[in-house]
This record gives sequence, C-alpha cells and structure tokens, in this order.
Amino acid sequence: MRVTTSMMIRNYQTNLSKTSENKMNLQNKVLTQRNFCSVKEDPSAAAKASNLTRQYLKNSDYMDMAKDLRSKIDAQEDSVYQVVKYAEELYAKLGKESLNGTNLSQRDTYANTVLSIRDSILQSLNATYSNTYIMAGANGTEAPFGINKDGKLTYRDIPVDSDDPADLEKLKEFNQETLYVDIGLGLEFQKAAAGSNDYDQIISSTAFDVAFSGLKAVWNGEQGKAVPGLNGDAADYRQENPLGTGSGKMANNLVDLCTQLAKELAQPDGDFDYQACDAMVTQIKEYHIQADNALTGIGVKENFLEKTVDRLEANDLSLATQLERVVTPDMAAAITNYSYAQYAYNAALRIGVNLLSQSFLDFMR
Amino acid sequence: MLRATFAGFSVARGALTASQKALDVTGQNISNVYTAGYTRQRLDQVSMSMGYGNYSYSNYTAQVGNGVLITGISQIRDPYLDIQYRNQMANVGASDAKNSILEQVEGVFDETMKSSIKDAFSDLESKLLDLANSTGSELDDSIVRASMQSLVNIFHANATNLADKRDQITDDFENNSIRQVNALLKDIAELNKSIKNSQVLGYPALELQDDRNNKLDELASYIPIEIIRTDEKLSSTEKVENVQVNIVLTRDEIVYKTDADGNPITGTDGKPIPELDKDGKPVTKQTMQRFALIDNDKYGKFDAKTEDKFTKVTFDHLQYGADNKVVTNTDGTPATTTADLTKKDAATGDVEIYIQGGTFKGTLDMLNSSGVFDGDAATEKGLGYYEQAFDLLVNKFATVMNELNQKANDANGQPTGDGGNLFTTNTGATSGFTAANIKVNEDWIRGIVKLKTKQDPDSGSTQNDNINKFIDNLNKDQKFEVPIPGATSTTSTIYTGNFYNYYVNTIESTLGIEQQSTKNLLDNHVTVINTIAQSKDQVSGVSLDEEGVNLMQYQQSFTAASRLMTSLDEILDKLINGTGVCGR
Repeated sequence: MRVTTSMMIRNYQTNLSKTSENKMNLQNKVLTQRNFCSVKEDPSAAAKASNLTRQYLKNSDYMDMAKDLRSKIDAQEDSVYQVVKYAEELYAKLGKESLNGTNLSQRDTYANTVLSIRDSILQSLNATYSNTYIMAGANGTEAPFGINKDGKLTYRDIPVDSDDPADLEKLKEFNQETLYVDIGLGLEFQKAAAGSNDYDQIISSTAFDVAFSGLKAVWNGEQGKAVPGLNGDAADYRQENPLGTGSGKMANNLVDLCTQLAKELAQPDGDFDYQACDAMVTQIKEYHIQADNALTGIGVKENFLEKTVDRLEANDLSLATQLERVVTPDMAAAITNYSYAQYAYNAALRIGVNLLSQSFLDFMR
Repeated sequence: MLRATFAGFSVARGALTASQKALDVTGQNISNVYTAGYTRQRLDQVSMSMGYGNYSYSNYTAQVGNGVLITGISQIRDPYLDIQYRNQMANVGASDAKNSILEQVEGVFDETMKSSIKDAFSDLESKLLDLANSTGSELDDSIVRASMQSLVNIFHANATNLADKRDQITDDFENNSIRQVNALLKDIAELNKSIKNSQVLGYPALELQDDRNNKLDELASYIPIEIIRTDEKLSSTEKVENVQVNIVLTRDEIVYKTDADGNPITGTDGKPIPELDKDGKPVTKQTMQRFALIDNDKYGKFDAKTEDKFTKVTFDHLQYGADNKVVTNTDGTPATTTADLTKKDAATGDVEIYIQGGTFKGTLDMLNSSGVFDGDAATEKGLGYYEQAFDLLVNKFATVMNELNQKANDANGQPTGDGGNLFTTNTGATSGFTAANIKVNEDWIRGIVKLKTKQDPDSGSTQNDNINKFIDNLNKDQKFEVPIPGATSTTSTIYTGNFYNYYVNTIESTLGIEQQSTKNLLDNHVTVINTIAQSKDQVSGVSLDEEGVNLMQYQQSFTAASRLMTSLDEILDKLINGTGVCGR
C-alpha cells in the first residue's frame, strides 16, 4: 500500500478527533454524574428516566397528600373523640340513678353542665383544619352545625330533629356525601350513562374519601324515639319544651337531646320526670356507642392512610433507586474510563508529534 | 550507421533538462503536500529513438536511443474513486444536514437537562391535587391558573423557538445553499472554459483541474451529480476534454398496464390504465432521470421559494438540440427548461423530494416533510412533524381542559354554576389551538370564568369531583388523532396515552431516536468517505518520503547527465585537440 503524507495526517486527525470526542463524553459523564445528557445518547434510558421521574414526582405528591390527609383525619378523630368523651361524661354524671331524689337546685347544676357539654359538642362538631370545616362532608367552607331560632340543631341549615321526610332524606344524602382525593390508588371514573342527567362517579376503591359528616357521630338517622312512660301525655315536659314536636319523642340527635335533657332537669320539683330523664340518659349512652363507632370508622381510615404512607415511602425509595440506576453512572467505572480516555488522548498527541515532524527528508544529508 | 559527432551532447542536454524538470515537479509536489485537493503530478518522459532508416548499409547496425523526451506533466488520479467519493459525499451531505437540523430541534424539545413541558405537566398535576384537597379556596384556583399559565408560556416559548429555527434554516437554505450551488455551477463552467482554452494551447492546466475537482466534490455534497467526460479531438494528436455535469433525480412513476406485446392498454377515456396494488393504489416504480446542469461553459441554476412552510425548489437545466448540442438563445445564453426538485400535492398532501442525497436532500426533508402528518406517512420526520405533533398536544390539551370546565346545565337545560373555557386562541376562538396561538382565557384571569371544581353545581362547597376529573384526564389515555390528507372525515390515531407520555414518546424520544440513527448513519457515511479518501490519497496524494527519494534520484541523474556531458567533452577534446599531434 502506498502511504502518503496527507493520508497519514487525515487518518491521524480522524482518530485524534474520535479520541478527543470520547474523552469529552466520558468527562461529561464524570462532571454531570449522569449516564446521558441528552435523549439521543440513550433514547431508551431517557424515556425510562422520564417515566420514572413522573412516577417519582407523583409519588411525592401522593405522599405529601396522604400525610396531609392523615393530619386532617387526625383532626376529625380528635373531634369525634371529644364527642365520645362528652357523651361518656354525660352518661357518667347523670346515669346510675344519680338524678333520683335530686332537688331543683341540684338539677339546675346538672342542667347547666349538660348545656355546657352540649355547647362543647357543638364546637367539636364545627372543628376546622386549614380553614375548612372537617365534619361538614363536602361543604367545608361553612360551619355545618348550628342552632336555629327554635333552639334546634341544624346541619347545613336543615333541622336535624325534623319529622319532615324531605329533611330526613336530605340529611341522609349529606351523610353519604363523598369527597375523594387521589392518593395513588389509580383514580378512575365510572362514566354516567349517555343521555342521563347523572354525573360521572369516581370508583370508590380508586381514591381516598376524606369526607366526614359530623352527623355520623351524633345523629341516629331516624326519627326520635318515644319517651317511655310519657306516651305523649299533654302534661309532660314537651309542652314547655320548644323542641317538642308534640309526639312525645326524644330528639334524634345528641345535641338536641342534651337541650331536651337540660330542659327536663330544669323542671320544678313537681313537674320533673325522672323516668323521662333516665330514658334520655340511656339514649345518650346509645349516642356514645354511635360516636365511638364513628371514631372506629375514622380509625380504620387513619390506619389505611398510615399503610398508604408506608407504601408510598417504600415506593419513593424504590423509584429513587430505579431512577438512580438509570441516570447515574457507576462513578468508579466512569472515572476509570475517563482516566483511560485521557491516557489514550495523550498517547495520540504524542504519536502526532512524531508523525508530523518526520519524513525521509529529515534524514537526507 | 555512422554516429554524428555531437549526438551525445543533445542526449546529455535532454537528460539535464528532464532531471531539472523532474526536480521542478518534485518541488511542486512538496510545495503542495498540504494543499487541499492537490493531485500528485508526474513528469511523463519516454526514451527517445529517432528511428530513421539507414541511407547506407553498414555493418554497425546496433542502434542507440537518443536520450530522454519529456512528453508532458500529468496527474495521477483514479476517476472511479472520484465517482465513489462524490456519491458518498451526497450521502454525507444528506445525513449531515439532517443531523445539524435535528440538533437545533433538540435545543427546543430535549428536556434531559432542563425543566420545561414535562415538569410543567407534573406541576399542574401537583397543583390540581392540592386543589382537590382544598377546594373552595380562591387562592388555589389562582395557583392552578398560574401553573396552566406557566405551561402555556412554555408552549409559546417552544413554538417561537421552533419557528425561529425554521426561519433560520429556510433563510440559510435560500440565501446560502442555493447561492453557493449556483456559484459552484458558474465556477465549474468557467473552469471548464479555462481548462479547455489551456488544453487547446497545449497546457494541461493541472492546477485548474484540481480546482474543478474540488468544486465538483463540493457540488456533490449538495446534490447527487453525475459527471460525463468526453474527449474532443482537435487534430489527430491533440484533444481537449468536455465535461458535463448532470443532476440525478429519482422519481416514482406510475406503472401502466400493458398487453402481451408490451403496448399500453387504454381505458374508454383513451387514457392508459394504471396497475393497482392490493390496496387499490397505483403501483409505482422508481426511475432515475438526468438533467444537465453544466455542459462545458454553459450552466443552469437553482431557485427556491418558501410558502406556507413548504420550500419549493426548481432548477433550470440545459436543453439539447437534435445535434446533441446545448441549445442557445440569440444572445448566446443557454436555453433552459425549469424542472421541480420538490413538489407538494395540495389535494393529497404528498410531499416529494426528487433527490436521494446531498445537503439539499437532508435540508429539504427537514423543511418540507412532516412524517405521519403528510399524505404519504412514510416521509421523513422533518420540522413539520415536530411542529404539528406539538400543536396536536396543545390542541388536545386545551380542548380537553375546556370541555371539562363547561358549565353544567340545570333542569331547564340552561348553563349554571362555575365554568367556561379556560383557554382560547389569540383570536378568541375555542378550537384550532396551536402552541403559538393558545392563551389562558382572559375571562379566567379576570375572574369571570372560574375553575369548575364540582360537576353538580348544587353539591357541597368543597366538593372536588370535577378537579378529580381534571387529574384523571391528565393521567388517562387520550386519543391523538390526525386527519388523513386527501381523505374526507377520516383520521388516524397516531398515539394513545396521556399528555405527558405523548410528549415523551411522540416528540422527545422520537427526536432522540431520529438523532441517534442519523448520527449513526452519518458516522457510517463518514467512515466510508474516509476510506475512499484514503484510497484517493493512496493514488493521488503526495508522499514526502517518495518526494525525498525523488529529490536524491533526480539530483543524481542531473549529476550523471552533467558527467556525461563532461565525458563527451573530454572525448571530443581528445579527438579534436589531442588527435594527430604526433611529431609536433
């Protein structure tokens, strides 16, 4: 083969350029600590990294969200726990025949205590978290519970102890209200049938329902029970009781029941009906159980969130590890490769010095 | 035969001249060892023999030659390697142009080292998730709006950036590449003329030929060319070289039905009937056509004009008469015919580029082709692909978001509750969104339109089911459909997936894969062209070692010729001055 000077130089320049490019790429790898700095270097790894990055970011969002929801659920739990405790206190104070044989003065003290506890229950039911009422179902911008001009408990302006079936229906609807938040359970909607007036519904297993209606803790969802022994007698406490419906029934919720109880306790000695009070206190015990059950329900949710946070944290670690595996080079290998590339480049330069300076002409005399 | 007394002197003189000339050629070779495109030169010399007959018979019949004769100086070049080199230059040119344009697009869409659309989508999702957990807050609505505004800003920035790239590439093509090629055509034609004039006078014009070869190599990097060299005899011994440069077009031509004798079958309308494939489309076959761009000192030219993102390139090629000579106008300029290098069918959207290589091919592919968005979906994924794929993302995104935010209808079918279009175009339209024209609805900014948080306007104040629908729609599969050009109400789904993955797969990864394959192709072509260049250098390059040896050799031959001269002088001196002096 005939070897010419320009051929040698072209060959040298091509190879030097390749060596230099290789050195630069490996140098970038070390400097950026990345396997690739553009998609073209490794499209498959880059697509994988994009996918992992998105999953990682979503997982972080879900993690933050689940933690925040846990605090919210904690706040709900605290409030319901307070209700449970107040019901328990009422039952403990007024139960076991403690009212039997009491005079008006003693009962007035009891009545004030009951009213004070009622107000505390109301406060707990209107608890807020981050400026949102947490016992308001999906209507967190307004205080859910209130006392109307008749002194009756209202939930979202509807009297809770109402005999109107429409009110009852509305309350039931409120009680079943949902407020779903995506925490990485694969949020999915069930599409409403075409042409119907229904809305698309979230499939309940694909998101976390953060809605909680305080009604669950204090309302039995039915009309009030009859007070045993009174049978709607016109002479009973209800005549003076603004809550009374004339049907001789007890209020269907803890708050109104407290009001009823306080009224009864404030009756003069002759009018005071111990039996009715006893029945109401027994009913309070049932509300205590109901609130406790609601508390358990929240506990289940909290437990689920705990597990979800654990799962998301494990995911976080796993995704970060996977991402690192795809994106970050083995630094030992990267540095070694770079050192070798530097060595090869130096060698190429050394060859160049010899190659370019010498020819037969240098040895002619 | 009797030898002439002074015959030896002319032999020695010829040898001296040849050695001196050879040293000159060696000097020329050494001087140009690093000159680009220089072809090694060689002194052509032959042993001279007068070869005339004897006038008188002689017993001394041994004939000696008459020394050395310089017949010329020639270049050592392999035309076959030139053809290979130029064909490969076309391949390198095409890949290089494509690679360099894709690198510019990479700056817009590759998000490996920057935060852009992908992060903006993730941010939007994050903000919507926050809002889902805190609906009813005015602040959160504005945070989501800010996130969407940020996404829209990135859409704009990328669209502007991409449009700037297109403008720069188009401008560079029209004002630099086209001009450069036209200048090359003119230069080569003028060199043809100069070389021919020199050859007529007996000069080989080797340096001009090197210059022409360089320019032909450069021309081959722009367009695929074919060079036809023919010798024109001036006399029985003198000849000059004619050079014709053709552009080679590759076209798909429709195949028509023929009968058993090979005659075309015509339909009732008298037109030939095309062969159809199984899909009912006409069968085509690739044919190559050649058009003369240069014929000696006559040359054509290229022209380019861009309208509606399509660069139409035409060229004026030379016309030949029946005598196979270039037809000229009365003013002596060559008569030319204009032909298309690129074509776009308005009805079918088919884009054609009739060349198979060269920078023109690479650049025009990128400027004119849009891949799946063209009528012929198999075209290259040029700038149009990235522009339209990006616009498709924006249009789908804006349309879906707007649909999700429409007001609900009450029992009387009247719109009620929050809602309204979140995005409009610059002109206020709510369809035909592009990355350049999309904007956040001003009514949303003013608070007239609100983000619809709940599907049922009568549901609770913190109900968030519609926000969840936004989140769901950012994650769920969307069908990205494009109309099929030329077909009515028919679309093709180019991708099914969420917005984020559409961006990653259809734009970012596609670009990366295209870049990777183009770079690999370019590397392969460069490797091949380097091999051919090596082969060319083997033949035509200067070796300093060889030239060094030549220096010694010709110096020695000059010395030897001088010595011959001295010897002859001494002989004659002896004969003239030292002979017959006996007895003086």
